[in-house]
Formats: sequence, C-alpha cells, structure tokens
Amino acid sequence: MKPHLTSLWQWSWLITLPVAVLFVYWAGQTHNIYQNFCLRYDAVPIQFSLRGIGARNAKQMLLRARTELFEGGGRTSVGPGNLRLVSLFVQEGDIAHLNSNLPHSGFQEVDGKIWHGNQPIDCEVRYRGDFAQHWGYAKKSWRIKTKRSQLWEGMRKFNIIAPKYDEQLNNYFGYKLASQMGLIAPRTELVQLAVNGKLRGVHVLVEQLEELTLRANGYMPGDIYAGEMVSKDEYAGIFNAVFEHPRLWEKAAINNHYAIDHATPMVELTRLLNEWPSEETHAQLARLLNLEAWAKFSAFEALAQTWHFDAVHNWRIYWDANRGQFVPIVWDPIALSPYWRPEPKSETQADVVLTRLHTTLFQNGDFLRARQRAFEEFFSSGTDQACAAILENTLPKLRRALQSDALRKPTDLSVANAAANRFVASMNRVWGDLRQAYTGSEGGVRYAQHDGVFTLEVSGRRTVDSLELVFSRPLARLPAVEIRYHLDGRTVRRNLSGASRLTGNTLTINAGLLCTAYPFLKSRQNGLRNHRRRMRPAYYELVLDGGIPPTSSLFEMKFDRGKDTDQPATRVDQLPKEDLRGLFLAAPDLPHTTTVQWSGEMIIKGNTEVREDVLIAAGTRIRMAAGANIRFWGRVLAEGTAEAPIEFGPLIQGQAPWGVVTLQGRDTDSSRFTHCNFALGSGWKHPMWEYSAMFSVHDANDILVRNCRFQDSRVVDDMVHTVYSHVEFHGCQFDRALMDALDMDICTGKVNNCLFRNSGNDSLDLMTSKIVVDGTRILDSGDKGISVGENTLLFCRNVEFIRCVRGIEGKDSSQAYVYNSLFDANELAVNAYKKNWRYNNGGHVFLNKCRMVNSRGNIRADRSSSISLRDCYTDVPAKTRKRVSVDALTDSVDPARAREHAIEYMPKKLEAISHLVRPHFERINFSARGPSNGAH
Amino acid sequence: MRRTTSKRLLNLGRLASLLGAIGATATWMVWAYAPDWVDRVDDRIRKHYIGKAEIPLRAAQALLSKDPRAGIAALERFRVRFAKFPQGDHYFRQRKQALRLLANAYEQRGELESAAACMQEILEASPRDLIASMRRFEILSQLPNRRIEAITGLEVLHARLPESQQVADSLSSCLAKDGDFERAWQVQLETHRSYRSSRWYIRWKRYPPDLWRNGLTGLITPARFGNRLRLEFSLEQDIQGLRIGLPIHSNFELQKMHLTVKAGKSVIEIPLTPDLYQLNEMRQIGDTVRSFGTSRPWIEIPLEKLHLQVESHFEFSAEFRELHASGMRSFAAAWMPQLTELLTGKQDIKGLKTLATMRQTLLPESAFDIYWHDTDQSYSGKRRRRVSLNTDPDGGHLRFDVTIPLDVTLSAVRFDAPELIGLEIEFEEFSLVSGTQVHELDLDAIEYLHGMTRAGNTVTATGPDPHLSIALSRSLHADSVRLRGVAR
Repeated sequence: MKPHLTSLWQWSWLITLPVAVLFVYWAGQTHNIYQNFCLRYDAVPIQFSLRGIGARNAKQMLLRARTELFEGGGRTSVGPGNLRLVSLFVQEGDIAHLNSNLPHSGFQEVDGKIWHGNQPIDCEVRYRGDFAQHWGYAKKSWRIKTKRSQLWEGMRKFNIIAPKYDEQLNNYFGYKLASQMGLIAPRTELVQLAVNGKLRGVHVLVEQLEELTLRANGYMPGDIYAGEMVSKDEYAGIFNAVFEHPRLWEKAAINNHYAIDHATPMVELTRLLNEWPSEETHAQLARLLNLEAWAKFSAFEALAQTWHFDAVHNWRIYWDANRGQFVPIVWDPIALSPYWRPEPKSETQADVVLTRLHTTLFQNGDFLRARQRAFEEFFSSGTDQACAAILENTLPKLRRALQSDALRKPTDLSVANAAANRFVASMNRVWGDLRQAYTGSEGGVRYAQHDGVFTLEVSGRRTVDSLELVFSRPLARLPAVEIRYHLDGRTVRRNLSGASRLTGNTLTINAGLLCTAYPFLKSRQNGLRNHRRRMRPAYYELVLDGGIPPTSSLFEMKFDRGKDTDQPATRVDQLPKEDLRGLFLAAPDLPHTTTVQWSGEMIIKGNTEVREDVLIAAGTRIRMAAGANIRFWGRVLAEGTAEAPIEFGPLIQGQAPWGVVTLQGRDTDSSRFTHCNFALGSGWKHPMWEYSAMFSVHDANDILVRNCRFQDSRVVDDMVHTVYSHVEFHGCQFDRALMDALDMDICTGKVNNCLFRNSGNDSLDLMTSKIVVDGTRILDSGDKGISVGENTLLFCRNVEFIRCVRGIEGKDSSQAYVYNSLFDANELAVNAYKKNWRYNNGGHVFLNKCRMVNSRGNIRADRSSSISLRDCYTDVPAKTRKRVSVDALTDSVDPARAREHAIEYMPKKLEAISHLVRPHFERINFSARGPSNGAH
Repeated sequence: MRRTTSKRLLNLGRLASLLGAIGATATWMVWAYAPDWVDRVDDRIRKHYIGKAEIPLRAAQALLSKDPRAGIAALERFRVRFAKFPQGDHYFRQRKQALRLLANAYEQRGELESAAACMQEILEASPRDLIASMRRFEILSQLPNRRIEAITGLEVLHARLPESQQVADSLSSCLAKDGDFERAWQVQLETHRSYRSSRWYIRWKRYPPDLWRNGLTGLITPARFGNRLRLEFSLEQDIQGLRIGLPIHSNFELQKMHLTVKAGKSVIEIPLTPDLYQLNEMRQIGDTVRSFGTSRPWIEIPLEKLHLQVESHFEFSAEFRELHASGMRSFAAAWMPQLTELLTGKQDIKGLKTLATMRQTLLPESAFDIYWHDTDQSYSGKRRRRVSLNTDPDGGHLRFDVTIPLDVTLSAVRFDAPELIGLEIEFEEFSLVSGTQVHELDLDAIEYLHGMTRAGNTVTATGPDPHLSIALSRSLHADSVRLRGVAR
C-alpha cells in the first residue's frame, strides 16, 4: 500500500501542477479585471461581478485551449469565402501601456502599423468606446488613425469594433441596411483582426464619421453635429437631453465658412421641437428637415427595431447649408438587437417614438406621407431582398471565422450560431409585419354628403394617395377643391385645386390624407419601447366649388392607397365631426400654380423671397439696392432678347455691391435664363445659409442659361455658383470675375460656346462634378483655366486656353479628357497633382489631338498623378517621363493636322456620362490638332 | 545532503501543486455550488473598498462642523490622497465631494482663491461639470480683481446654455450686484424667451406591484384648445396609479383638472380635487397647482379603486397658464425698485407690465417665517417655523389665516415677510395661543423693524430681509401663533 501511495505522491504533480498553474493564471486574470472594473472603475451600465468575471475567465481559458488544440489553433482562413483579415501591429510595451489603467490609459494613442495592400503603413491606435464592452474584455474595440499622406483604403480614421451581442452582426447589418435605403452611413465590413500576428477574432470595421463620409455620400462638406450626452460625454448640472441643449452638440465635421461653435441651425431645430406645435411650426420644421431622408431614417428605425437613437446619444445630423436642411446619419444602430426585437408573442412595433424629435415628427403630416412612401419603396424596389442577400452572403463567412475566434463572445459556438439564426428569423418576421402594416389594405374611407360638403373618414395606417369622385354627369369645369380639417379647436383649410384633375365625369384629387393616432402605453422591461401609436380615424370635409351642374350628383367615390389597393369608399348617412388633435399638416396645400410677371423697371431692396413661378419679360431692368437679394423658390422664365436683354444690376452706380439672384430647391427645376446680364453683385451669407456667387443655383435640375453675361462680381469667391444641380450654360460670357468665374460643385452640366475673360482666379472651378465643356474660350485667367478637382469627370472639346497662369489642372482622383483643344501662351499648360489628403489619388489628364504652344512649361504631374498626350502638337518637343506619357504620334511638326485620322471609341470612364458627352464626342475632329473651326 | 535537499524541494513543489489544485477544486466548487457566497464576498470587498474613501471623508466632514481648521486640514489630506483618481473611478465621487466641501469651507473663511482652486481642480478632472464651473465663477466674482473674469466666464456659459435658469440667475445676480441692472434683466429675459418644452410624459404603475420606472413613456404633446390642454392616451390593464409629468423646468399653473377614463363600456369622469392627487415638485395654491421650474414636476393620481382590469383610454385635461420662470420672478422681487426705475427710465411699458404681472404671481408663492427665542437665546434657524401663504387671491389681494404650531417657551417673536419690495401686510390678528388663552401681540411694542415701515396695523416691505421683532413682557409657553390679515 505504502509503495503505491509513495508512487502516487511522486507522480501527483502531473495532475496537480497543470491544475495549479491554470488556477494561478485564472486567479491573476480574475483579480485584474475585478480590481479594474468592479472596484476602481465604475463600469455602469455594464454590471461586472466577481462571480461573472471568474466564470467568464474560466470559459475563455477553455475556449482558448480548445481552439488552439482542435479548431485551427487561432489561425484564420483567408481568401474568398472568408472574412477579410486586417493586421495591426502595436509594440507589446504599448499594448501594456494601453491596458495599464483601463479605461483611461486605453484612450491614449500609441504608435502602430496596419497592413495596407502589400505594405504596413504608420498609424496611431487606441481603444475606443464609451462602455466596458469595448475594453473590459479580452476582445477590444480599436480606433485607428493613419497619417494624412497614407490613407487606409480611402479612410483616415476608422474603428475595428468588438461585436456587442451574440449575433455579432447587429451594427454591420444596420449600416448595410441604411446604405441600401440611401441613408448616409459609414462604410462597414465584418473582418477578422490580427494584432501582432495573433488572431483576435471577428470585429466590425466602421469608418469614423468625418468630411470624407459626406463626400462619399454625395454631399458637400459641412457641419456634422454629434449629439452625445452619456458616459464621459455627460454634463453635470443640467438635464442631459440632446434636443434641449443645441449648443452642447459637438461637431464631427466642420463647415469652415462659419465659426466652430456656430449652431444657429441646431438652435432653430431645438426651438421648433420644444415650442407648442402649430401648423406654422410644423411647416417650418418640414422646410428645415430633409423630410425624405428623415422618413427613410424613421422607416430604418422600425425595420431595424432600434431604439438606440434616444434622448441622450447616438445622434449624428448633417447640416446641408446648400439646401438649408438637416439630414440624418446612421450611427451605432444595433439593428435587431435581442433586447429590442419583438418577443415571439408580442407584436412588432411599427413606429419607433422615443425622443422629442420623434414625437414631433410623428405629428407632421408631410413627414408621415414621406414615411409611408419610404416603406412602400423599401418593399417594392427589392431593397429588402438585397439586404437579405447581403445577410445570406455574410453568414457562412461569419460562422467560419467564429470557429477560429478564441475570444468570441459567447464562448459557445452553438450559442453564437443559434443567435445568428434568431437574428435572421426576427428580420424576416419584423419585415413581414411591417410589410403588412404599411402595404396592407387595413382601413378605408367612408363618406357622407351634406349641403354640398363631402365629409370623409379616413382610417388605416396607409396614406390615401388620391380620391376619385365619379359624378352622374360630366362636370362643366374643374371645381375649386378645398379640404378642411379641425385641429385643436380651429378649422384649417387646404387648397387642393392644383392636385386635382377632371376627366369627363370623374374628378381625381391627389390628396395624401392621413388618419390620426394616439399613444398606447405598455410597460416593458426596457422602458424605451413603451410608446406605441394606435390609429384612429380622421375626419375631413371636402368642398367643391363650381363646375358641378345642379343635375349632376355623386355616383361613386373611390380611393387609392397605392397600385394594389384601388377601392370604393363606403357611403354612410352621417359622420361624426372629430378634431384631429395633434396631427399637423394633415393634408398638403396644393393650389394651382400661380405665375407672376415681372417687367419694366423693378427696384429690389432687402431680401425678396419669391415663392411663385416668375415670368420676366424681355427688357426688364431689375435694379438691386446694396446688399439686396432675390431668392426664387419657383420656376423662373427670364426670356430676354439680344435687343432687349434682362438686366440685373445695381440700383445706383457706385453703390456697395448688391447680393445675389438665386434659384433654391427642386421647385425651380426647368428654369430658363436667356439674354440676361448680371453685373456688380456679390454673395449672401446668413447664419442659416450661404450663397457664394451673385448668380447661384442650389439643388435644381434642368436649368438652362443661354446668351447671358456675367461681369464684375464683388466681395465673394465666385461669380456664378451651382451646387447639387444640372445646369447648362450656352453662349454665355463671364468677364472680370473677382475670383472664380463659374464654380460647379456636385453638379452635372455643360459649358458650351462660352467665353471667359480676365477671371481673377479660376475661370471654371469644378468639384465632384461631371461636366462637358465645348467650343469655349478661356482668356487671361488669374489662376487656372479649368480646375478639375475632387473626383470630377470632365470632357473638353474645342476649348482654347489662352494666357492663363495654368491651362487645365487635374487634382484629387479627377479625370479630364481633352480633345481638339488649344493651349496658347499659358504659364503652365497642364498640371496634375494631389492636393487634398482626403483623396488617395491625384489628377489624371488625357490630351488627345491638342495643340500646345508658347507655354513656359507645358506639362507637370506629381507622383500621384498622370498626364497622357496622344497625337498632340507641342512647340517644345515633349518626352515620355515618369507619370507623363507621350505617344509616338505626338510631335512638334504639324500644329494643325493630326497624324492619325481614325475615329476612336469613347473612353470607358466617359460611358458613365455618355448621355452628356455623346453629342460632343461625335463632333471631335480626329484629323486635326487643336480647335478645328474656331472655338467661339 | 544535496540529494536530500532536492528531494525536499521536490516534495515542497508537489505540496504546493497539490495545494494549488485543492484551491482550484475548492474555488470551482464554491463557484458552482455556492454562488451566493461568492456574491456576498464580492459585496463585502466592494463595501470595504468604497469605505476606504467614505470613512475618512465623513470624518473630515464631521470635523469641519466642529473645528473648521482641523476639518480643512483633514480634507486637504484627503484631497492629496485621492488626487490621482480621475472621472469614472469610484473614488472620484468622494474626491469631488471633498473638493466641494473644501471650497465652501475656504469661502466661509474668506480664502476665495483657495476656494476657486478647489473648483478648478474639479473642472480639470471633469470639464463638463457645469455646476463646478458656475460655482467657480460665483466665488471669483467676490474677488474685486477677478470680478470681470467671473462675469465674462458666466457670460460664456450663458451663451452656451441660454436655456439654463441656474446660469442666468447666477450671471444676473453678479451683474446686478455690479450695478448693471439692464444687462442683468436682459439675461433673465433671454432665458425666459429661450425655447421651453411643451412635451409632457406619462408614468404608470401596474398590479401586481410594479415599478414606476417600467411604465414610462417618451414625450407626448398635448392637444391645446385655447387655454385648455388635453392629453390623451391608452394604457394597458391593471393600472394602479398614474403620474402626469409636466415638461421639465416648466412654470405652469393648472386648474380645473379633469380625468376621463373609458374602461370597456364604462366611462368614469373624475374632476380632480386636491384629495385625489399628490404633487411632486409642485405646489397647490388655492384652486390651482403650479410647477416652478424644477426638473421633476408631476401629478400622481392613485387609481387602485377603479379596478381597471381592461385596457383603458385616458383623457387628462386642464386649464393652463404659462408663468414667468421662477428665477426671473425671484430676480424681479429682489431688485424691484432698481428694475422699476430702469424700466420707467426707458419708458418700457411692456417691461413694467411684466414686472407687475410677476409681482401678482409672486404673492401667492411667498411664505412667512416666524422666529422666536427665550431670554438667554437669540433668533436662529433652529427656532423657526415657515408657512406658505397658500391662500386664495382676492382681487390682487391675498387673505391669510394661519395657525402655526409652536409648543415652545418664548420671550420674543420675530415675523419675517417675503422679500417683495412694496408688499403691504395688514394684520387683523397676530397672537400667541397658550392653552385656552390668546395673547394678542401689540404692534406698538415692536422692538425693531428691518427693511420695513409701519403704519398702524400695516407694515410695508422696503428693502431686503424685511422683518419685525416684538419682545414679550415675560416668557410664556405658546402652543401656536395665529396670523390673520391681508397681503397686497
């Protein structure tokens, strides 16, 4: 017996030693976390406990051992079918520093490197996140910041975030869903992270919001307001609610035309959200918000069943100064989180009402109509299927990556897989319920007729898009159509004549009528979800004035709530009169469009807002007092003639400059300016908007400017400025601009047969635009003839650049295709370089059949850019060198005749704007170098 | 010898491993089979950890009230010991509290630079602490050479938070003390005109006993019909209580409150009388209830007796009036003569009318204080009773008729009027009740008047801290004091 015991004692260490070592390791880890997050640091709202930490550590150790031994040893699978691997390198000492006094130490940046393409690039790294789930566990969330000169896939700042929930993909899918819906959202991707070669498992890569995000989403750089008043962003001494303290919002991006603490738009929004609501405040709100975007955002909240955009955090709102509207940005949505998605036996919440912004918007008829359209579009355009496909594509990759993720949360793989399955199931269920709610046929219209007034009762969640009234006999003419509703004890009248049409005996009224709602309150563990909306029928009165013969009576009324629901309304004897109680703008006001006529001499003083369509007669002289501005919100037809042009000029010679003439918004679409002269104007800067040119076009399409003359601008940057628009200039003349003559930002358009002379700076300044310039002469520009910047695509034909400091300059991922053009006596004919660090690339200029003469320097390109010459003439022989490619056909022999005459295909890049380019491309003279028959 | 040593060492190693393994097994067993015990240990460790800061802080606080010099020294030691704990750490709460105590103590001793430095230390650790920021400027404003810095700082805060009544009060008080009444009044007006919330909220409690916090809505906007508002909502079944939450920081006056409950087919109409509701951070004044700019005003209505076992539809309605912010009214009351002079000089008829209106609303909110003392004592906050006028306005006058319980022996009584310059109080009765005996106090025997003038039975407030004191011919035991009269 004794020898046995001795032997047992001798060899007992084989079991006891590993157990003891593991125990000591476990105890050390547990002590560290307990000391940090239970004792020293107050990790609320994350609840750490000794028991929880100990159990988690034990599970984590087991998981590590299992993955090391049986599941790939922490090595990842790369290549197609797997999540991408992002490799980060940080010195172990720096990691120790980050972990030394969490979370405070974790927010101090340390040097690192991140693998980019085939090489590592320098970056600064730190931990990120407000709460302990980002840095309290083994898997951390990181913030990476590269140098300006070395962006990582076009991003300078981005996050690699440890997933919060078992599903792993709540935020990833939320961002994808938002992008698919056309909302501004940061770039995102599910990736595997390796730190110093060791796999750290599945993370969500999310771009940090900044100016680049706006550019990538087609918006002008501007203010991004960030509403965060929680955790370390919380204020002591006030009630922390973002929609009560407009000046406490931070900015994630800044419009540098205003002071950094400029917050007037946010103050105005807060005022409207806090005041007693009225038709007027709601109309103002509808103008201040891009309702289409907010409607999509609200639909997104319901589709993602997210209550994360709450009173204290996660708000990112872009102020689009050029449209004068706020646009929401999706940030940290946590789509379909297990805490928020509907339980099996409870209903899906069709409306997310949480903050005072939500409360107010859900009272706004314009918003509710736009929201209904957003849902219909989501389900009818196939966006739901596209999102489901993304999920289907991602899940297998995620599952594979989780297998080798030794730091995964939950540690049990089957739990993670089951959570992902539940995620998919809940998505299907929620979307099914919302499809039913927003495209189903619940509710309807009842009506009664008394004393020539039709009383209507509208029920059901869906908007009644139109009413069809069928009369027993044809109507003599279109009657005046008015809809009335009673709101908080008052009667509101809306003119719908402009939205009505008569076909024989059928009167169709595009009404957009809504039912009302009241709150239904139900206790939930998570109080955020307590508020639901219960629909209640709404009462309207329809009044038709004139056109109905006494012998004609209403035969039938139908209503339309989308293509699939054209139904007859129910006739009843009487309907009870009901107040709408808090539904504002319940019906739109759509009167017949009125056109005002301007003629003779008009004197404009101060700011003139013109809401109607305007017809300006030939020979009209509009004399503007110093600082006077005209803002058109409707269509303008300014039809001057060569003999009797329309003049926009100063009231008194020698006065201080007048301000601007501007077209604002989509109601100005199809405006025309012919033979108009603009002189001695400047700009208009207001806390809520800025017009940087005396003739400005903001957010308008199909604008045609013909044979107009712009001259002698004053004070501000540009003489003519267009943004978010499609504008064509034909036969126009731009003289003596103080700085830039024509500035086009995020536009499409044409500049055809125009003349630019003596511009103080650039003649044509392009940013993120797609432009055709044809038959144009640019003379004596103080800087560039054409500045092609920030991802612009330019096609030029028959353009003469004469005596400019620089003929054409391509920058920042822009492409310029120049044909049959002349560069004469410029200080530098063509320049290409990278100016803005936000772009990974410089400019690229392609010259084909061009002539370059008398320049001090012909072409120059920096290391990020390129210039290519094909069959051109240069008076000083050009040679191929680094970044400048000169083909064999280019020579210094014949300035006029090309060596190769074959017609070429349109470059692929231009295919994207072939509708603009094609007619001009077909007129290229492939036999000639330079302009073949005079540019102007 | 060497062999024996190594054998011993091996055995020691084996023993250590064995102990480790036993420890591991024991820990596993505790974790698996006695989790409550682990939680209890966890709790005790946490309490012990927090106690390491709590206990010395409490001791220093106690010392401060007995021996300020020693208290300050103890707090300074605490300050040094916990200086390294930044915001977010548990000890930061105690550190901040210690710094606040220290600032107060220094301020009382007139060491204003040191007091401001304490606030500065809080701000360095917690830059978003607006209270510390404001407090620091208030302290600095008492230093003549840093007054401009303080006012500039408060102006910056006010520019960021024009909606904050607290900041406005602090700034306007500083400005007024500097004699700049115009700007001070302007600051109050700016805050008053700043956006005010119109959003209400609802809380409810269910059966089986539920927490109020589970039943909380987001904000709701009432429908508004002239001066009557109507708040409409449905609630799930088994509702036991309802709280109607007014907008935070609102200054509303509500009357004729009514609740309609439609439960199934029955409709219950409840005119809300004071016995049917409780108020939080609100005041009952006659038939009206008022909120006065605090952060949690609500009206609680118990509904157990209605037995609402089905989903019910509620409609709360009331007549309402929006008042000027209470801070603004207090400011106007404190600086009434100067403001009247300013606005009269500027011929600001609207402003003068505003002042008059505010005075009207101030009266019913005001309170009397009664102090007393016996022969070897002096007037003290420990010997004071406060009573709200809390009576019905009567054509701009207020009738008061109150009995204030005392049950003390006294030889002198002091009456403190509200700080409303120009307020006239006419006494119809001012007496002490002792058992069945009533001792009328003789106003001719007034010992002294402060901030007041007297004509017969009428006293008029003329300055700050208006009060009068009446000495009794002998000490007597008083059960109560009775006050009856008119204030106008």
